[in-house]
Formats: sequence, C-alpha cells, structure tokens
Amino acid sequence: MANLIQLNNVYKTYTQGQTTQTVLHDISLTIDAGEFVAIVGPSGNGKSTLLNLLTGIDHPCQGEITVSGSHLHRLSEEQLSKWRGANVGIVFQFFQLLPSLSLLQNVLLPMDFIAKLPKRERLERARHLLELVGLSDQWQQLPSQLSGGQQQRAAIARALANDPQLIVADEPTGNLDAATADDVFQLFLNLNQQGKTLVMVTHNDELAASASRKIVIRSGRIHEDQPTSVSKNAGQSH
Amino acid sequence: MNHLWHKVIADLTAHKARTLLSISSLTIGILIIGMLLGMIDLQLRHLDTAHRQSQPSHISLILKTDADLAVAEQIKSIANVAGVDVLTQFTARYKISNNPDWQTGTIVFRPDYQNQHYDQMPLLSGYLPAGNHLAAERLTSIAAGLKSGDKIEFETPTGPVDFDVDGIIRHPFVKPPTFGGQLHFFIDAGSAAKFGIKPYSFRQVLVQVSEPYSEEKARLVAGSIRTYLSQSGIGVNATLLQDPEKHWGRAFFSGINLILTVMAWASLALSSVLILNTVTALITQQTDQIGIMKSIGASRWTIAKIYLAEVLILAMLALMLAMPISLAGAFYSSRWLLNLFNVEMPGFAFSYRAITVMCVGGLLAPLLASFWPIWRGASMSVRQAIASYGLGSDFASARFDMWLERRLSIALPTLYAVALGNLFRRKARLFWTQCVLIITGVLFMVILSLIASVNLTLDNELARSRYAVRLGFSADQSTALILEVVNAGPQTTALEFWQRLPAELLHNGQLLRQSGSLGAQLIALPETTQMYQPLIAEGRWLTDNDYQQKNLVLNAATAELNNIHVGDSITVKLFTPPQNTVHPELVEGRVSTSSTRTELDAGVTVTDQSQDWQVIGLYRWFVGSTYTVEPVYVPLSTIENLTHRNQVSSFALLSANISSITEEKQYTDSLKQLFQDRHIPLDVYTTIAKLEQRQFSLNQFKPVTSMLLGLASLIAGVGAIGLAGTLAISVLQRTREIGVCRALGASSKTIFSLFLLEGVFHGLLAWAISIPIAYAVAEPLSHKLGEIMLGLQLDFRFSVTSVWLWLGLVLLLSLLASYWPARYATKINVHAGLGH
Repeated sequence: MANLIQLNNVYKTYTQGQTTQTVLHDISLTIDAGEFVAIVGPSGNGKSTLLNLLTGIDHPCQGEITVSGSHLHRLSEEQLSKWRGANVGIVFQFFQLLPSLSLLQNVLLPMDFIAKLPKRERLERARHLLELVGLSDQWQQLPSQLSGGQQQRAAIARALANDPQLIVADEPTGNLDAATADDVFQLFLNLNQQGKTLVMVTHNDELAASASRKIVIRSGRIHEDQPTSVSKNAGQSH
Repeated sequence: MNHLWHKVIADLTAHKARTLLSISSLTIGILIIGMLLGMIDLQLRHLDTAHRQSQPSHISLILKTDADLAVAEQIKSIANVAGVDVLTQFTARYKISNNPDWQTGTIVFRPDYQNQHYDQMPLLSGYLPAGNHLAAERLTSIAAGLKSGDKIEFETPTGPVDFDVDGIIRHPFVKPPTFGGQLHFFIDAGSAAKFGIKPYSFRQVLVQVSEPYSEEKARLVAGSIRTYLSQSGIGVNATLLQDPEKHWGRAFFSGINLILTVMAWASLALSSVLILNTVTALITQQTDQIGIMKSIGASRWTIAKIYLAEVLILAMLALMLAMPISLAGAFYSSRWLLNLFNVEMPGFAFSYRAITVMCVGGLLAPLLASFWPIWRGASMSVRQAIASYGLGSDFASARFDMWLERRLSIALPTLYAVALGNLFRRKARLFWTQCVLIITGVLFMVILSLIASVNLTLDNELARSRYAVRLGFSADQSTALILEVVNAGPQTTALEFWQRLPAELLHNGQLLRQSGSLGAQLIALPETTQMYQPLIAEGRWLTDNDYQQKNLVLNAATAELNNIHVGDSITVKLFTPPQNTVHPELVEGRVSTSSTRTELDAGVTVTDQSQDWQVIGLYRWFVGSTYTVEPVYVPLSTIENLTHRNQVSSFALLSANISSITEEKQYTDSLKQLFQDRHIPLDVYTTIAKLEQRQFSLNQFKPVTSMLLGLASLIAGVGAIGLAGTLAISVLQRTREIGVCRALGASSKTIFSLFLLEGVFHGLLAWAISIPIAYAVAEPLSHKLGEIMLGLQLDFRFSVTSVWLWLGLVLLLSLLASYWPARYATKINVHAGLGH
C-alpha cells in the first residue's frame, strides 16, 4: 500500500514566557493508506501534538510532513484550511459541533466550504451520512438536544462529509460511557474496513488493541511502533 | 453560503439580549445623525424659501420721524434703487378679553395690503384689515389665543376704541413673544387715523437695489438714502440690510448646525464603536467555532463573511427602526424651531441627504468598525482558536495585570478585587466602553458649564447695568417733564438721562463696517454715569476728564473689523434737528394729532456735523451681532455742546429697590401708566426692565441648551447600552467561571454583586477620567459654542455641580446597565456553568 502519511525528523517545540518545551523529538514514521493506527501513551507526552501535526493544525519546528502527497510544512494557514476540508476528517474529543446549527447543517458545512460536490447532491449525501451513523431521525435537532454518543456520531458523519481518505480522531470516546464508546468505535472499524485510513489517539487500551497498529509515544518520542495482535492475526489468516 | 445563513440567523437569535442591545445602540446612532442632518436641511431650506417668498427688502430704514409719500418717490429716483415700499409700525396699548390689564403691542399699517412689494405680509386666513376690523399677526394669535371674531380694545389719542379680529397675517420679521417680542396687529388707513397717523405718511422705508444685488451696493445705496433723508430733516434710527437669498435668522441656525453636524457624526461613530466592542466579544466567544470551521475547510474570507453578515443584519434592523423615528423627529423639531422664526412648514417634509447618510453611514460605519476584529478573528489559526488554557487565561499574562492583581489582593476585599480585576481583563473592550462613557461625561459637563457661563455672563452684564428700568421714548422728551412724571410715581432712587443720535462713522474716509446688523448710533451719557459701564476690552471707559471732549468708546468687534485701535481718530457725522428743539407735540405735555412734519419742513435747517473724534476705549458688546443697533458711547456734555440740544432725553434710566421680577413688573407698569397718562409714548423696543430682559435672554438660549442636553442624554443612553453589552458579554464569557464559583460556594448575591460592582467600577473610572478632560476643554469649547451658537462672548465658569451631577448620573446608568447582566449571571448553576 502506498504511503499516505510520512513524517521525517519532525520536532515540535512550544515557548511560553521564558520556558521552552520540546514536545516532540525527531519523529519519523510512515502510515500507509488503509491502516488503522492507534497512538497511545501517558498524558502530556505529545500524542495530541502529533495528531495536530498530521492535520496541519500545528506546524513542525523542524522536519517534513507529507500527507496525501501534500507537504504540510510548506502550506500557509489558508492553504491548510482548504487542504484539511478536502483531505482529512477530524473527530474531536468534545465533538465540537456548531451549537446553533442542526445535525444536518453541521454535516453540510464542510461540503459548502469545499464545494467538491454540486449543491443538489450535498443534501442527499448529508442525509446518507447521518443514516450511516444511525441518526437519520435526528437530522433536525440541535447538538444540545442530543446525548454525547449521538453528538460524536454526528461529528463522525461531518468528518466524512467530503469523503476524505484520512480520518483523524483525538480521544473520540474520552467523553463517552463504555457502551457508547463501543458503538462509536465500531463505527470507526467499519470505516476502516471500507478503506479509510484512521489515526486515533486513545487512552483506552482495549480500543487501541482493536487497531491494526499501535504507536506508543513517551516523552515526545516514539517508544514503540508495532502491529497489534489484530493485525498479526489478520496477517496470519491472510 | 446557504447553510451559513442559518448560523448567522442562529447567532443573532440565540443571544437576544446582546442582539437587542446592539440594535438599540446602532438605532440611537443612526437616529441622531438622521434627525440632526434632517433638521439642518429642513430648517435652512424652509427658512430661505420663506424669506425669498416674502420678497425681502435689501434695505430697511426705520425713521426717527414721519415722512410722506413724496419722500418715498424721491428715494425711488436715487441711483441703483429698484423699488420702494413703505409701512409704519408704532406701539399702542390694548386689552383683550382674557386679560383686564393694558398691555403694549405693535400696530402695523401698510398703505396697500393688496399690493405689497417688499417684506410681504401675506394674509393667512380671514380678511385684510378694513375699518374696525384688524388682523392679528400669526405668532401673536397663537400666543394670545386670538381667533377671528375676538374683540380687542385699543387706547387711542381720542379714547379707547374696539376692534374685531378678522384675519391672520404673517409678519416676516417678528420676535417670538417668549423671547420678549410684542404682539403685532395690522390696521388699514382709516384705523390708522384713529391713532393719529396721517394716511399718507410712513415711518419705515423698504428698498430693493437694482440687479445684480451685492452687499456693497446695498450699503452704498443705504448711505445715499440716509444722506438724502438727513438733508430732508428726517433722521434714521436704524438701517437693516438683508441678503435677498438668505433668511436673517440663518446665522443662528448656521452656528447650531455646525455643532449639530459634529455631534451627529460623533454619535454614529460612538454607536459603531460599541458594535466593535460587541463583535470583538462575539468573536472571542466563538473562537472555538471559528477553529472548528477552519478545521473542516472554511477559508478566512468565508468566516469573515459570516460575521460581517451578522453586523449587516443588525445595522439593517437598526436602520429600519431609526429611519421613521428620525424623519418624524427632524420634521417636528424643525417645525417647532422654525415656528420661533414665524416660518410655517406646510406639510410633512424630509431630507434626502439625511436618508442617504442614514442608509450609507448606518450600514457602512458598523461594517467598517467591526471589520478589523472580524478579520483578525477569521485569520486565527486552528491552533490558536481551539487551544484553551482553562479559566482566566486572558488575565495576569501582562505586567500590568500582575501588578494590579498584587495590589488589589492586598488592598481590597476579595469580591471587590475580583470585580476590579475583571474590569481590566479585556483591555480593548474596556477602552472602547470607557471612550463612550468619558465622551458622554465630558459633553455633559461642558454643556452644564456652558449654561453656567451663560448665567454668569448675564449676571455680570446685569451687574454692569445698575439701573432697574430703562425707558426709551419714541421721540426725545424734555428732561424736566420726565422728572416731573417720575417724581409722581413709585420710589425711584436714582435717575439719569441719555440721548440717542443717528450718526455715520468713517475711518480714513471709509464708512465703518458695523458688527451690529442694524447699524450704529451714538449713545450720549453722563461721563460720570452711575448707571452703566460695559466690559472694557481695551483702553478705558468715560471719566469726568472727558467733559465736552470728542472722545468715544467703540465696540471692540467693530474696531477689529475696521482695524481701529485705541488712540485712533474716526470721523463722526451727526444728523440732528436744530438747537433747542424738542418734540413740538410735547411742549404742552399733550399729544397733538397734527404732524410735526409740517413745522420741520417749513424752512428749518438740519445740523450736519462731521468731526474727528478719538477712540479712547473699546468695549465688548454683550449681545453680539444679532438684530440690534450697535451703541457708540460718547459724553453727553460733548453732544449737548455740539448740537445745542440741552435738557432733552431719548432714554431715562431709573434705579429702585427691587429684589424680584414681580416687584420689577409692578414698578415698570406703574411708570408706563404714568407716561401713558401724560401721553408720552414709550418705545417698546428700547424700554427694558433688567430682570425681565435677563429672563428673555435666557429663554433665547434655552432651545439651544435644551437641544444639547437632549443630545447628551441620547449619547448617555448609547453609553449605558454599551456598558450593558460589555457586562452581558462578560457574563457569557465567564459562564464556566461562574459555574466554578458556584461549585466553591458562591451565593447568588455574591455573583450578582460581582457583576454589579464591575459595572459601577466602569462608571467610576469613566467619571474620574472625564473630569480633567472636561476641565481642560470646557473653557475653549464654551467660548466657541457661545460665539457660534449664541453670538456671545461668554464669561466662563466651570460647573462644579456638573461633576457631582455626572457622578450621580453615571452611577445610575452603571447600575441600570449592570442589573440585567448581573441578574442573568445569578441564573447560571454549577451544571450549566461547568458544562459550558
């Protein structure tokens, strides 16, 4: 499978007042299309920062990042916005739906920004995506009227709006109860089975074990990068 | 953009209070600018239209004595005279049914009402005067409540005569009764005879010069006419020059309009500043939403369009609200003001300029004001937008904040320290909110200082006038006769006699340009007068050393106009009747119906003296250049010596022990009755009672100062709305903090006090900052405002009362503005707060 994501010698440092802190040290990794990668590790060790670098939300201080053929370290903020809308679907821990828009409108929003699909097809796709995540009856409701799990599923539908190849999720089940987390995670598995590349930060070891590859980040470095048992079994059975 | 409109509408409807506050603030700004510009346009337009419609005379000469129509014909033959019209105005006493006391009014007599040429006085309703049927002047009829069919009794030389009011006529040149103007009535030739007026005589000449008109030409023609009249033994009391295109009241409006224009734009700018405040807060509040939108592909411009659309909708709603109110306000205000100048507005009218400015300015100004914070917000990176450092991340990051926090935590109880610290959290928002409150405070204190300065100026001028009453006689009287009459009356403690003479003043052979619009006249008074001394700007006042000296004291403004200084010499050309002549009608103390004109015509020569006089002093003229004759003060002894007219008087100045306006009225009425009984006519325009005059002067200033105070109130409203908005947004932004406070045990009262205190601190801070600014600008602004709007050189007094009044007002505004946001904050519970 072709490399979808490539990081070469990436460093990320933050400066706050007099303090400088290097969050990521010399990160190099590749992720192939279709992989399901779980990024795990203790809090404050650089997991979310790594995810932000993959989506262009953060810029590396050193090194190169290439995603879907685009050199993110060379793009401007404006270019990154456009690139993100077309190529990446982001799912946040706290859902981050726009509170004043209905579920349907939230899902339509990325399509309006990127305008990849003709207008007349957008509504149909939005309804389809909501149906995919089991929210077809709630399309008119506002996020505040839904449970956490429902909101997260709506956020997943929104992430799929422009049919991106890459889905990035930062602790997507961190705010959900166990049962709901399972449901949501199942959705992610389904998406991966459909060929989407998934990169997910999670604290949940069980969920991490369900991914095909686990990367452990400790003190800003890749401590471990191995296929999981699921992947090994899949490989073996293959 | 289709689905983003949902966000736009949702943002506006989700926070109704904030939306309403924004709309209110914008509405006030647009309303003020629309109303003020509308007023300016309507007033000037209707003033000038009414003026032109009356076929204004270019020159109007008020004569000292009667002249006959042959004189009018001769005037027509003077070079550059295009046409002549005549009329007579005189005073008479009258009674109307709802007032048993005799009052003094003005009667106007025109030879031919159907064929008036200049200063036309059109019939508005009813019938033209005929026989015992007179017409009342429009303002008169309103002030006195007169209507057709009412009866009026007039005092005539042959006894009281009843007249019926049968018509209403508009006089283009009357002073409103509330400003001290007399009631005016119109009669025909037949009725004029009952008052001793010869049918073919006149006292006022109206002249138009030939085309093309110029002020210089009018001045020269006026000079030629005065020369001719003086050679014919006819003196001129006053000369008025009028611009044919511009109403005489324009100066009053032009001065006000300049100030109003500045205030109008300032109020729109202030409203827009508040929108900037609101938008900045909105962007801050929706930073995470901006980050989300950027993370899913929104460009900077797309995000900017969302918020610009919200501002545009707010502006459009404000415009829809403000437009009808401002158009109506402009119309009714203009109608009221124009009515003071006896100009009617026939029907509803509006200004296209005001509408255009409201539409363009009302929409553009908020968009321009909010563009920068919107663009800055839209330009934020996703990182900046989504990253959150928890509670209070926007404070204590700068040195000032840290210093403040240390000081406050030591000096103040926790609650106050938190409230005061919150004040400085959002410095840009603090700055803009303070700007509006400070400007309001400064304006308020400046206006009250202006009022205090007007009162001080009037009081100072009154202090310089040590008489209680000044009686002006229609014709010069024997001083012995005056003394006899006065002695028969209420207790007078002092009496002085002054003379008034028409004169021409020349400097280096050129006629002086007067700052007084009615020209100048010599006022001859005792060198050691105890009754009056004007404010001397340069040189000195008259002293006993000026006995029989040709020394004069000139108006400082006129001196400046003509580049005259103390010590300079000017030529004074006197026009006086021959020596020892007093009004023949009064030799026996009776009024004769036969005209004195005949005696004067029969071979009597008129003295025409041109002599050089020295300017020994310049005085500051209190009333400025409004519709008045400018005095030039000279020693009475010198005039008596030159003219050989001794023991005659044009004015009698009386002082008495008077402590109230009521006592003054009784004293004045008694004197008037005495002179009336002796058939000695008083000139209503030069007879003044000091306290009453002060009241009339104040009445004239009231429309202006009331308007300024009204505007200041509106701007204060904008400030209060801004403060309410600031606090409301503050509550929204600190929802999570409030939740935490609640979790830690804060009561509703504590939460309420926190935000109320913050509002009060806003007010106190604005109050403290506005005082030194107001103190610094009040004097120059008051001088300028006094000059432009009131035509006065004001003595300045800073109103200390206004400082305390403003404190009370700003605290009240702060409390009102803080109440609802503080109350809303108390409704936020732990769950809602921490879940925010």
